[in-house]
Amino acid sequence: MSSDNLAKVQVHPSGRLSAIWILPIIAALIGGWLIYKAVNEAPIQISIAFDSGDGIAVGKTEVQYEGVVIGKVSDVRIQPDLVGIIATIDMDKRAAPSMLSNTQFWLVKPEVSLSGISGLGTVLSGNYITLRVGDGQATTDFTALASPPAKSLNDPGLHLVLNAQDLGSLSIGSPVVYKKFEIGDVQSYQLQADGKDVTIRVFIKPEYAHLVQANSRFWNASGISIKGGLTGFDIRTESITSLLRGGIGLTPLEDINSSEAAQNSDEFTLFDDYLEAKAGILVNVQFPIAAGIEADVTKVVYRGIVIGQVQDVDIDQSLSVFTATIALPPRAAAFVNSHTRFWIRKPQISLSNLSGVGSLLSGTRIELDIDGNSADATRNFVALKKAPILSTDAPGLHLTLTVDALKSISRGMSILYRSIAVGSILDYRLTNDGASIELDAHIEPEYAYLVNSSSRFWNASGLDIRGGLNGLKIRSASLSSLILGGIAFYTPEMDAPEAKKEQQFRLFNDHESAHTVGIPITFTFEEGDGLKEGTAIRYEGIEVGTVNSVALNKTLDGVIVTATLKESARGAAMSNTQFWLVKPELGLTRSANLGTLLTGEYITFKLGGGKPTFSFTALNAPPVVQQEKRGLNIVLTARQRSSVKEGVAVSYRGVVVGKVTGHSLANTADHVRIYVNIDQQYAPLVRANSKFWNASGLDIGFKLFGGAQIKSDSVESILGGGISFATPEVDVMGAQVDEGMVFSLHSSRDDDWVKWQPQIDLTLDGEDK
Amino acid sequence: MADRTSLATAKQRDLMLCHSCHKLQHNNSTAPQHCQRCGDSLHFRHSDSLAKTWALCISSAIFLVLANVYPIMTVVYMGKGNPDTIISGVILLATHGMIPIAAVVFIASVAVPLLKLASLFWLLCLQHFKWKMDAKQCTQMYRMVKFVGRWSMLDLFVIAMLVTLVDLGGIATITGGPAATYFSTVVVLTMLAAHTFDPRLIWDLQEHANE
Repeated sequence: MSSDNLAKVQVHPSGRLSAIWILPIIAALIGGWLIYKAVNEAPIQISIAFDSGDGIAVGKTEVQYEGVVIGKVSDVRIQPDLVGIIATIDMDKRAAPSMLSNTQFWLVKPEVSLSGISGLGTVLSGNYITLRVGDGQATTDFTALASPPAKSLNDPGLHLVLNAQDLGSLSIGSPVVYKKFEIGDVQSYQLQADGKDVTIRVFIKPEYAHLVQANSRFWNASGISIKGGLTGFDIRTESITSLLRGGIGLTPLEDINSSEAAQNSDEFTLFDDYLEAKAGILVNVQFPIAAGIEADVTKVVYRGIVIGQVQDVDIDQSLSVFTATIALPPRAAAFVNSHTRFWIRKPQISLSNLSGVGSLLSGTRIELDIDGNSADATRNFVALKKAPILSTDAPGLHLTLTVDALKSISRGMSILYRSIAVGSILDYRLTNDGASIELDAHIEPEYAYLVNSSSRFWNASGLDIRGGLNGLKIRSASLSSLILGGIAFYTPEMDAPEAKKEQQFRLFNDHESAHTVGIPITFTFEEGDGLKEGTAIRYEGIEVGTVNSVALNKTLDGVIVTATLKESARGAAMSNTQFWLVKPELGLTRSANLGTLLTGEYITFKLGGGKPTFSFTALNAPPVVQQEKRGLNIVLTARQRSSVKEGVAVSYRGVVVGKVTGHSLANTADHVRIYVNIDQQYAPLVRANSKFWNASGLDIGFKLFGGAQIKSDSVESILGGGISFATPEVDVMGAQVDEGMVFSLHSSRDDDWVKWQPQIDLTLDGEDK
Repeated sequence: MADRTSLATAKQRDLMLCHSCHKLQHNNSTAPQHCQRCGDSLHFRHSDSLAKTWALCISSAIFLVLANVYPIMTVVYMGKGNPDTIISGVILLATHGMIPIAAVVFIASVAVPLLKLASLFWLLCLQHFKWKMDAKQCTQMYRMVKFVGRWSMLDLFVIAMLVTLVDLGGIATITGGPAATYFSTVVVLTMLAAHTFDPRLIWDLQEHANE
């Protein structure tokens, strides 16, 4: 075989070391390094004694420090005396320097309770052990705390002590909030030795430590605080967190420079609520009655600004004096002195008027007046019975207004001039005889010139609504006076003598009365039916006066009415003027003065001359008008009045040309005189030979062979009655008649009369023929 | 069997096989030979086969230790979870009743690498100490080692899949551990070791023994 011929080749192992041997060297190096590392960083073993092994699992439960795992429980065994367990823990070697005798360990478990949720992370990740590094000697045996320890004073940050009446719903870990920021938490709390107060230790994080000043106030912000009454609710809660966990609030900084920063271990009072904490000084004010004063509700107002609140209302042992504790802001501390006055302001409401709506909504409030002058500081006061009166030496004009009834007038009500507030009502009081009320009015100095002896004041409060069938008139001085009330005035004569100090003015009830410079007059009526105060006096439909009062006369057989006539109606106050009461008339044939059904009766008058007089005897019925001012007045005589009465139309060829103004029995009583007024333009129609007949009703005649004949002028005249007249032909008509001409009123017409067709020129200038 | 052992080897016939193109050719000189066809260098046996195999085996032995000491995978399920070594993972699976899976993992990750390495060491020791052993059995063992080597990657494959697939934040997260690297190194190194070992040496040894 050829193969046998082949020389045997010796396989020589390579003399040099193969490069492949680098690989095991690298492997060995890696392994060696890892072993070195493992040995070098081998955990140190410590043992911690726990009361209970609950929640500690071997190989699972870790030791965390600031969230970093630094160890793990490697073994758990019970203590020999069965009082607890000992957990053996493999700790990171790097943590060894911290294993000192004062280092504290505790188990972090999830806690879910009504007041708080903590350690939520442990629900998923399991419980863990954490620690706070202390000092002392190195050791490996520790005893765990039952709960997280309070922060030590050495920790950076601010450690404060709060004294509270009770714990509220605070618990360890409850936040301290500043403007709803969590700036710290409750570290621990304990009852004081005397059992009275609770001491709460809180920790403020270092970055927020500057927010706490020596004058800072803490309050218990736990839960919801609901306070309220009729005037509204005040629901206050710091945050949902503090709602659940409880919390402590910190008042905002007032001025960072004004106060020194708080120091460690400073003691503060923990106020019960925000308002208590916010309010600075407490003053006690005695009130004779506590009506309307409610703790935590009633506000304290200084010049319209709420500056405090009533904290508490108490009654003394004699049950006669109420003492309200009022919290005022710290700023006020310097000004509250023995000159400070307190009083109650109550809301006012009445049917006739509404005033002080603001206080109606805000409820009774306490007002105070601070005197700028220095005086002895005091914190105990006796309230004034009513608001203090601006002293009469105050600059400005002081006046006295008299009014019959107070109505809606109240202290402080503005005095308006052209709707500008120029003063106010300081006070009111009954006059000594009790007949009227005096108001002390004060006009600001700069407006004093507006008032002089001719000024007229009226009550501009509320709405003044007047109206009749023909429209409404609504008057209000201003919206604010509508709500708040007000007194207005105007000065008709600016050059009248200046108003003297404390000069008396009458306060009119309304704008109208004030502007009415009246003429007082009196009437005597036989009966007062329909008459009352306020009944108007009208002339030609225009109001010229008002009835002021209605009273029986001394003999009880009449009614005396006093009224005021406007200056413009001065001409009516003459001896021959006739006054009567206009009443509504509703009848088959005639309705009149229906407006009075709604607006009420009114007094009207018929002017007459004579001497000026101010006392009249009123007529029971409208006076018979014998003569109208315009047109042609004539008199018809008739045997019977028939259906003729005042207002009945007088027609010529069916056209109404005049009316009956009245009727009366002749002085001799043998006939009736009917007064007729023919309109001016138709006056030429009436001639000396004109015939007048009564066109009222129907004239029905029967003839045996002619049938029935019904004569009537118009349907209107059938119902209402009427007078017609005719004038004969031009040649026989006679002359134009004079005023007061007397004609005979025929009971029926003559057929010839209606055939007359005289041509009479009705145009004065003869334009038409 | 006897007739097979009596057969002369190619080496005995001074024939060399090109490892690249598998052309059989005669050894012409003592100088390093090159393949007539592809030009690759020619050797009767893999050069430095034993030394390389030794080195690779020793390295993988070191890494195998590390792979079993360090955690291979951390399964965090609902916030809980601890790093697991290969063995602790198998125990965990077994204690949770997943015996078949535990068995698979154990075979793939523990038994196979260990047996493979042991087999390689055994073969190396045979060569080194000229122990007598049935060559056929040895060859079968070698074939088995070579075949089974790639399957050890199964464990790593599973880890790689889990790490990428199970990343559900707080609910469940799986992360690989340092042992995964060591373990893969073991697998790769043992495969290389099996490759560098020239099984013809087994028969060469038998030849020597027969002589």
